[in-house]
Amino acid sequence: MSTGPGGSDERSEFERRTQAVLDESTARLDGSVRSRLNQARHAAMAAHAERSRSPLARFFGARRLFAPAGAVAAVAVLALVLWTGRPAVQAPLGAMNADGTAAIEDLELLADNDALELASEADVEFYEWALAESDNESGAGPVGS
Amino acid sequence: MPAAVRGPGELAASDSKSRALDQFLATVERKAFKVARFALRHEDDALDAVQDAMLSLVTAYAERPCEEWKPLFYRILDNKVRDMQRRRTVRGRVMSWLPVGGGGQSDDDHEDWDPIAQAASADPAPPRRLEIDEAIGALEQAIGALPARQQQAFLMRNFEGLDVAETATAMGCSEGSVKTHYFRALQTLRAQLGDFWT
Repeated sequence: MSTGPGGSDERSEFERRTQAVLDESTARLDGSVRSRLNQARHAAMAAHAERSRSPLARFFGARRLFAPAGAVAAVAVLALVLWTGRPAVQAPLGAMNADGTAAIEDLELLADNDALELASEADVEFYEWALAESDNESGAGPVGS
Repeated sequence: MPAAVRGPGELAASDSKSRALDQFLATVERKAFKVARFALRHEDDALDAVQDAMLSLVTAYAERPCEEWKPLFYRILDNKVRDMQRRRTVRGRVMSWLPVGGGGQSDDDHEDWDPIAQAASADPAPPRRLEIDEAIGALEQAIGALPARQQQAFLMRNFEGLDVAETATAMGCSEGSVKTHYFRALQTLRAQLGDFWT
């Protein structure tokens, strides 16, 4: 302070001494008070740091709260897409319906272990024979006619 | 800050401001605590008032020029202190209606009593320290007995080092009132403390 009580540039000895004594008493504040003041300052600065973050950073900071829920939703959507969009099981030509999809009975056959073994062996000769038989039947007309 | 994304220059300025703010609070916190304790006569309440004032300053006035922080901070602190005094008055009125617990030592007082802290030190304090202790005790008692506005003017001017205009901002009054309160405070303190201080 450079001015006296009336705005003059002088300070009395009394003012100087009282200030020195008050400064001394401040320097002697006990550790617990100093520690709590320090904590209060850090809390205030943390609040300031939070406020001074850019709006974009605050937005993404808030989005982090929703990350787990978003992950669950994403997994659910992915599972749905994979389930509904999986390629249709290619059945032998004769087992296809008119719209190109496999009949329910065919799905049951495919789910059967024996049928899977047969399919994996890829008996080409059998398929050729079955195709020829099918052509013969369509060319000869209904059986017994 | 209205812009959504900040450039490096703005971030550096923000960091610099944060450092300045932290430094300001570190500089002012102890004296602010003393000022609040003189007014409230209670350590925990004084700490709460200082913490609230710090939070209010950084959340509402951090963007103001650094030179304005000190008077603003003390203005906020003064408001917090007055709020606490008002609450204390209301609480006192409510408690006076209750039939028990008004006087005597509470259980908390017994728990706070620490025999080790109360025991006399084996090391006698040196005479100089004793002299300073006495001076601090006498001055603090005299300041504590001052009327609130005089006490405030004296502490702002002579302890915190604010000039008349800053003190007027901190106290929410005119510069003329500051000068009057300060002059009367000095008169009273001189009369109470005597020749030792002059």
